[in-house]
Amino acid sequence: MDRRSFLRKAGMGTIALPVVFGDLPVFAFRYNALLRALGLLETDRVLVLVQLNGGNDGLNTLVPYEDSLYYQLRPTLAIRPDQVLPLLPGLGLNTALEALRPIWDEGDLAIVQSVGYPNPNLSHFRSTDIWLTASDGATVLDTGWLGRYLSRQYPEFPDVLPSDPMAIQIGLGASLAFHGPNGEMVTSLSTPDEFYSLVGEGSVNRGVFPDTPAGKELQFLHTVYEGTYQYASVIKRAADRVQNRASYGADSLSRSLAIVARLIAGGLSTRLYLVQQGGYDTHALQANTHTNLLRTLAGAVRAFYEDLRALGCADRVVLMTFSEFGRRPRENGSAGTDHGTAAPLFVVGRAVQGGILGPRPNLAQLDATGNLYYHIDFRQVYSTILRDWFGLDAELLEQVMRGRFEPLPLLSGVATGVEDPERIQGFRLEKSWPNPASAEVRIRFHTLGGHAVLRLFDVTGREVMRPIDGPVPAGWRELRLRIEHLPPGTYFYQLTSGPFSQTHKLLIAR
Amino acid sequence: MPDIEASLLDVEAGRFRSSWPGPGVSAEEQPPSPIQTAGGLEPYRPSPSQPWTVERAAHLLRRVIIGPKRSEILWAYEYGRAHGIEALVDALLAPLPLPTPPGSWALEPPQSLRGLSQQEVQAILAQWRQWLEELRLWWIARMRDPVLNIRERMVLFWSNHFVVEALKVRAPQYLYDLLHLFRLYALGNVKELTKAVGKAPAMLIYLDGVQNRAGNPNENYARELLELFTMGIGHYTEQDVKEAARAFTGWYIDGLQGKLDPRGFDAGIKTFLGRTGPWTADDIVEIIFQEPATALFLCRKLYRHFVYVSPNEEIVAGLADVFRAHKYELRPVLRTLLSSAHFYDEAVMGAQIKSPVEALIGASRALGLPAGLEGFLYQACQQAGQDLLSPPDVSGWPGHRAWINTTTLPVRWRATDGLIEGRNIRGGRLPVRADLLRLVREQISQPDDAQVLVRELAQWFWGVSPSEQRVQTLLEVLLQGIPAYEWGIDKPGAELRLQMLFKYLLRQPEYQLT
Repeated sequence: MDRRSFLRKAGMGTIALPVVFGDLPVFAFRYNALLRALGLLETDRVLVLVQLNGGNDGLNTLVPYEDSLYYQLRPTLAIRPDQVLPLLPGLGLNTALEALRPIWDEGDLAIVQSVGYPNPNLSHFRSTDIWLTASDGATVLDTGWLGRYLSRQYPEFPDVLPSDPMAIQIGLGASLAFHGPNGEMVTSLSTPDEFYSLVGEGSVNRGVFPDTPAGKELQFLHTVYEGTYQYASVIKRAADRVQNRASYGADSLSRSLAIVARLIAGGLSTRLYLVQQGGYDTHALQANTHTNLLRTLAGAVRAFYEDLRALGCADRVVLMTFSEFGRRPRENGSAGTDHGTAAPLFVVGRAVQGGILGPRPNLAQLDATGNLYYHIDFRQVYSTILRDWFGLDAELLEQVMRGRFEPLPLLSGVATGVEDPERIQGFRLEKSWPNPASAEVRIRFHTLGGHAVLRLFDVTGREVMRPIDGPVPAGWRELRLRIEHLPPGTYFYQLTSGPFSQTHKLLIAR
Repeated sequence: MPDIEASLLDVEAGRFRSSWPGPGVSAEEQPPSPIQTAGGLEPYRPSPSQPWTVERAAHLLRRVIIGPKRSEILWAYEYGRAHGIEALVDALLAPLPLPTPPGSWALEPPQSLRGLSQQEVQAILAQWRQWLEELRLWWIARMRDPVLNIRERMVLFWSNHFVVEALKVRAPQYLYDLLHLFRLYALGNVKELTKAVGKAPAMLIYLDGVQNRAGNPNENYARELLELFTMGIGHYTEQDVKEAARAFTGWYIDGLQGKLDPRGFDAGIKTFLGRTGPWTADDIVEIIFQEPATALFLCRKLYRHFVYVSPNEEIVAGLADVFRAHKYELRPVLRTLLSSAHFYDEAVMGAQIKSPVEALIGASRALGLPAGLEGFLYQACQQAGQDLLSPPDVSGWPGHRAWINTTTLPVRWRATDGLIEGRNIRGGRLPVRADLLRLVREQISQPDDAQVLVRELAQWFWGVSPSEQRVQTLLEVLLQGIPAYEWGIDKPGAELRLQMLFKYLLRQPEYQLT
């Protein structure tokens, strides 16, 4: 599907409307039916995370091949300039990443460099947890960043399981990233066939769970039992619907991404996937190991990218790599590198604004442990994805991310289903005034003209008013709405125009 | 109307601020808060409200050995009633003679690979892989040992504490040597065990100790020793890691032993945790064990292994006092814990999730299966997420809820089905299957009474007592529509019905609890 046809389809409503939504989050716990009614739980965009376990050596990934300090710090491990694919003057990819070159040339590869966080932690476990929970070095969080996001998308979990998995992890285990306030929100599997054949058909009875520690564990087990039975067949059906159209390597990362491609193209509504590649903890004899890891990574990502294009879903998938930290600029005495800090990460997809973001690592200025200072907080990258890819508004974003982090120009216009990024700004629904309101409320909005619908819902999701349903001139408009006949309480108003929709809360009090 | 939004925000903010209870544990609903009971570390004394029951005896045995039989549970119940709980715990904690090694290869130094041709190296590595397999199966056979003793449980604990991975260590001789150390010190002095582990060839290889030379320090071991093996994060600085790494320089492997090469050792002055001196590896361990954080850290980990995922800090502090008072001998600590009122509180019972070893190797032991299934059990545990000697990383398996997900759960189901039907996970034949008729004849008081049968089985295999509704379900699974009075283990079709009942019992969520 090219960008234009994607836009056309979006306009015809065959794809869930991209939704920009307002200040609903805390009410999401209560008014889930409404959120569903308003379409806040639908989008077909997918994020695939590739976790590089062990701490990827950033300096030998995106190589500062004209920096003499780099060669001084790494007498045996530095990548020679002739082993670098230059991207910008003095900066290039390790040739082991050659397979990414065509993606770069298409403008579909963004590299964010010097990514880290304040008070870096050099422990694998702590730093991994920091990345997965999106905390800073000083705070310990017990929910994952995507778990917090999903818990707002699926407020009825674990009482009600959605029809398709909320998130899928290929491999054993359930990542802390998907750990929500009410439990694990991820389904893990090695392959769809094996998953299905192991599970078979069955069910588990919902019992009554006593309010004891054992009762809580029993309830947790029941949730996983139910999900296992339910999702095994859903996943198999999706995987069986399509064949991969690119040739993948035999390594486990490639096999994992091949499965993800089939599940996406096979129609699962799952939006989050996690795959992993291990072995980056290169304390000793790093050179060959690291080259092989990068070659495998690039090959797998390239195959995935080609596959998604051939399968017609490249426009709606973004892939991002991350690792708990980079490695120390100075090599150690074992021809390896010890734990480091800031490092680059890759973001790949048709919706990505290709290029290199963030300042180069400054090898002349290292911290007390001999490590790099970060310049881009990894939570800026997360915030960018949540805002520009999944359409979270500022308030919800701040809650999920537990703070404000300046988003980056990482994703281009196709993300919202239009070609011209300026048109996104052409649609806006402002918060009503006064708030709370009693007799009259003013609602300001901006559209590009054409048909628009403005509806008012009560907390149960019932439409109580539809003051606008027809053509509206382009530009700013203000609606004055009499509401004295409505009982006091919480309401929501939603403006829809073409592919756009935005919702805000309205309080009526007297 | 009250400002719901503001109050919900506060609740949420408060939740996120919750404190961190320990390594790998999360604070709020998942898992729930620590168990607060009336009972502390004082010895448990049966009382009308907390009587000594078969359930409590089963609770003790499930936490101390792997897969108790019902006859063993009844023995523990009677022994505890007759001699007291402390005497029962002492019996379970008694020293045991060491087992014979898996083969003579285990006691011979591995051949050096240096200077060999590619082919020769491949041949040796193939031999090592075969011995590694032997070692794993031998270990599983030890776990199924009929002696009622805590030792194998401790070996499992230590192997998930002082973690190494077979893939990096490679030589199975070194892995056997480390397991031997864990058996030797199973309930012994933890400070001495820590010193010994630091010099064990397996650890020297796994955390790059052999790469750690004066002038070229490698921080890997020093960091994990502090973070994962003794103190926990937050009790030392990055500088302490660097200084400790210097003190650990100079070790190399000679045969089956770690030895110090004075030329590679950094004999200079180090300042570690505020103490300054020309510290050696042993000095560093001594200093670490002078810190109060160390006893707390280790007792917290023991608590999580034996009691509950969220440590009760008061109990942990009490255990740490015992630990220090006994100069880091472990037996008194476990004796205190396993005979305490806290351990026998209702709230503790059934609140843990079984590891694959407990659920699957435990099932094979409880079902009375003979030797010969070790290979199947190894693979089943591996697929269920517990690949013995190959944990995911140096922090080991996080355990508890992390064992259970949509991939590992079906493996557990298929594996227990397999033990009962005599099939492996892919459906092929196993050499033996459970003899259920004989089992219930030997283990159940009145196997011909369907009610008694299902109740005693649930009490034996499930971590929580079944409701009447669950008992009814078990009866339905067993009887398949025939009236209860027609049930008898000599009736035609009895074995098939028992198979269905056992498969069902072991597939249920209640079986995953201990």
